[in-house]
Amino acid sequence: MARYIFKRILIGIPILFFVVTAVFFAFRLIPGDAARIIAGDEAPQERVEQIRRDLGLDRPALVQYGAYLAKLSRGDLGVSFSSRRPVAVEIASRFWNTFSLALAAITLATIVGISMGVVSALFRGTIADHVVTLIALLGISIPVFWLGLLMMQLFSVELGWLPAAGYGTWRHFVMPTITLSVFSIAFITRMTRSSLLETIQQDYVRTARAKGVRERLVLLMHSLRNALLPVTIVVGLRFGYMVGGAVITEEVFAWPGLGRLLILSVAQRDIPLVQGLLLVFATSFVIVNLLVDILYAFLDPRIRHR
Amino acid sequence: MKRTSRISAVGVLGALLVTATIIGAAFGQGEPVYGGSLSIAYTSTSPHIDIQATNQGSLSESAHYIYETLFDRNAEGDIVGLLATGFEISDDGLTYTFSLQSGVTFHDGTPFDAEAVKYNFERKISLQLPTWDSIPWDSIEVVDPLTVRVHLTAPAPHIVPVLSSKTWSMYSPTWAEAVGPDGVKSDGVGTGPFTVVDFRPNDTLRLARYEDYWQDGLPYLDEVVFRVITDANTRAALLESGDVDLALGLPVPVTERLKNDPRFNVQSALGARQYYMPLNNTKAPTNDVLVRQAINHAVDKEGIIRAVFLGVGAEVADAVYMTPVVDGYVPAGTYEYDPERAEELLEQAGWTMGPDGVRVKDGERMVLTLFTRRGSVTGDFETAELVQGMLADVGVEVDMQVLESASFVPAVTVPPEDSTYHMANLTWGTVTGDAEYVVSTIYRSDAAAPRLYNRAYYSNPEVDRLSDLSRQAATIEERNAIYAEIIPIVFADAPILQLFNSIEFLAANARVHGLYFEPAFSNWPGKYAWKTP
Repeated sequence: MARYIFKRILIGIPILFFVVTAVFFAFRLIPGDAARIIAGDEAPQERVEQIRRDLGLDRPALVQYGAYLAKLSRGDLGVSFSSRRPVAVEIASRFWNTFSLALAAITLATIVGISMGVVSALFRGTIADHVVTLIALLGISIPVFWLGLLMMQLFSVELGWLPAAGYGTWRHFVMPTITLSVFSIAFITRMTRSSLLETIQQDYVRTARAKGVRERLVLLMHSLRNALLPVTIVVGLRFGYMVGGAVITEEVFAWPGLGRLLILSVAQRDIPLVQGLLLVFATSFVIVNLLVDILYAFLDPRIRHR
Repeated sequence: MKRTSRISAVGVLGALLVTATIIGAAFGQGEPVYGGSLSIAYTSTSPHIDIQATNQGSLSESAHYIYETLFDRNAEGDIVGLLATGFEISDDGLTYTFSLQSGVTFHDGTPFDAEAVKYNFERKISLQLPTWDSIPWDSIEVVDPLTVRVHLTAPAPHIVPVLSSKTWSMYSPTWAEAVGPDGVKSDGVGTGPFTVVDFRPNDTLRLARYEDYWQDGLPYLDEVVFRVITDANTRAALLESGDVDLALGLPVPVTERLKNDPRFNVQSALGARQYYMPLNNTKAPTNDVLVRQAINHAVDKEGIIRAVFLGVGAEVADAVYMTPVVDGYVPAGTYEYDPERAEELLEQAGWTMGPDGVRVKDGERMVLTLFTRRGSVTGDFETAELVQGMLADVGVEVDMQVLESASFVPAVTVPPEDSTYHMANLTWGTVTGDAEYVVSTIYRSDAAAPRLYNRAYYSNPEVDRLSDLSRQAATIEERNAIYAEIIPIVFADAPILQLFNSIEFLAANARVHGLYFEPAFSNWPGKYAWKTP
């Protein structure tokens, strides 16, 4: 097992290297000029040139790339072009905000999603199933910003129960968590339902029933455990997305997280900050995937023994 | 004899007190209350609070709580002393002697004196920070601790309005020296009514009352918190739910609704920002003045204001780049919406209607390239779309290209020979509130992009000559007399599509009092604000 984990970590390194390189050269291809943005629309050209020199952007691309890699290999993410603060500080000051929201959202999505999926599968064809299916359909198709604004109007402006936006207490978490988890709830519900329906028809379930195992035990021990294997992967992937992709939720609720920082830093062509953020996102994805695989191996002995 | 222009300290303080009283009365709320926290939702996504390094309006909104300038503008837009109590001009207009407010200290205890002013001027100049070169500096002399003298190489009566713009804020020399040019970006030490507690870029700026503030009895609030809320609907929801006390940059439909709600107080006033599109004066067919005038006549400015700004968010501009709040402005006129006149002018210029509804001349179809952004300011894209439709009605095809900011700005900041646009969708803010900024940095031919902001590449030798002449003027009045000749000439040349002037909105909870709204300079002086519990 340890060797397996070690191998997986090694595979992660070229992935991260690829991300860094791709981002670096992608920024050469797209139009836009960090020095001009920092100087402002109304700054004279001389000042732009001066900033360009200060940032080292006047050097050839390969030289800049080499310098960046050299720093990175020492664990130095560099300094943000626009705020002039270390990238590590910028990211660290917001990482927990994004991570805690993602954790809350994935927990909610997993609990609600699996419960609804199980209900839907067990009562297939009944009204309960149809209601769950409808909710899931809505969850997949509803625009996130619209749901966010709607909840804000109801719970903050009309009822005054929750703060409309911002970060701080548990009450600030409620609406962003729901908003961020809606899509995942729907996704996990559908996944659980179809996976459970499939497992129920497997030979070993029939065998268990034939042996006279009690129905509840058949469902929980024999079917659900196996049915949840593919669901684990979905949960892992969704969590990976949430860490890097909560942009709209963060924007609507003015949540000071990494997604908003990424959008802003791309708009400002703040290359060191974008690099740093994407490295964090890629690393979290690699780690989450690794954790999912370990969990999978733990849940499914067939993989462990291979 | 020396020409003197003195603003007495007593006079200034008196005026401020009167203003505060009038405002208190206007809100009908008697005696100010001390204490409490004011939270403000605004849109500044600036990664820093280094106001000397920028003249962006969104940063000025918070900067004046921390920093102060030598001069300020009152609610009427007139210049009043702030850290300076007055000034004297020598007869030749080349020497300005500023007398300074006594008993002022920076937040770090450093005294504010002539040395501090000299330090800040020299800092702006040596780092070439915005508008440093609009003053013909020769030298800066410390006469005594409360007197500083500026020697110029040419008369520059606009020095006072320039020094009243927020980018000329006074930093504590001790602090600025100690932390360096990067350190001033994430913290602030000024003489303002509030000190910086915590700055989190793109999130919050938390300020606390400066106990040793030099104006007795001010400010009223214990704390001011700026919250960056980029989504306009979220800003509205925060204000309506009571989570914030004040919101800036609300969408017009929201401010219209809140106007009728007694729980809120909505104010609006004409700003110093103009929506315009430079017409490339060096590129056919917009190098023809007839074509440029035709474009101006073809666009229904009032129609756009009704459609995009609900008829209340802007008003038709009647001078090129200048709004009525700018010192030196004279109304030059508007190009009335008259499609028939536009068509006549185009015929006169030799452009006849082609078979596909697009005009042609010498086998060339009239296709204009228009660069625009989407959402960089309220209604920019919608305006561009309407302009495109209106020009199509008179036989002008517009090839509209939507660019994101990071690529838009470099595309419209190129030398004329590299320019690829006929029209670009822009706004212009006269940050100093003074016409000199317009004439020197956007009217003159030597202000052509990329050096400065003349993105129409407009060039008229007569305008340049008059502008040179105006630089000899020792007083604002003499100078304005020459500007009054320049402004109509520029208008007749139609270097730009002259659209409209922005109206700025401010919406606050009715519990907030004493806020006065000075839209031209993004100035909401929070030191007068107080809140009923």
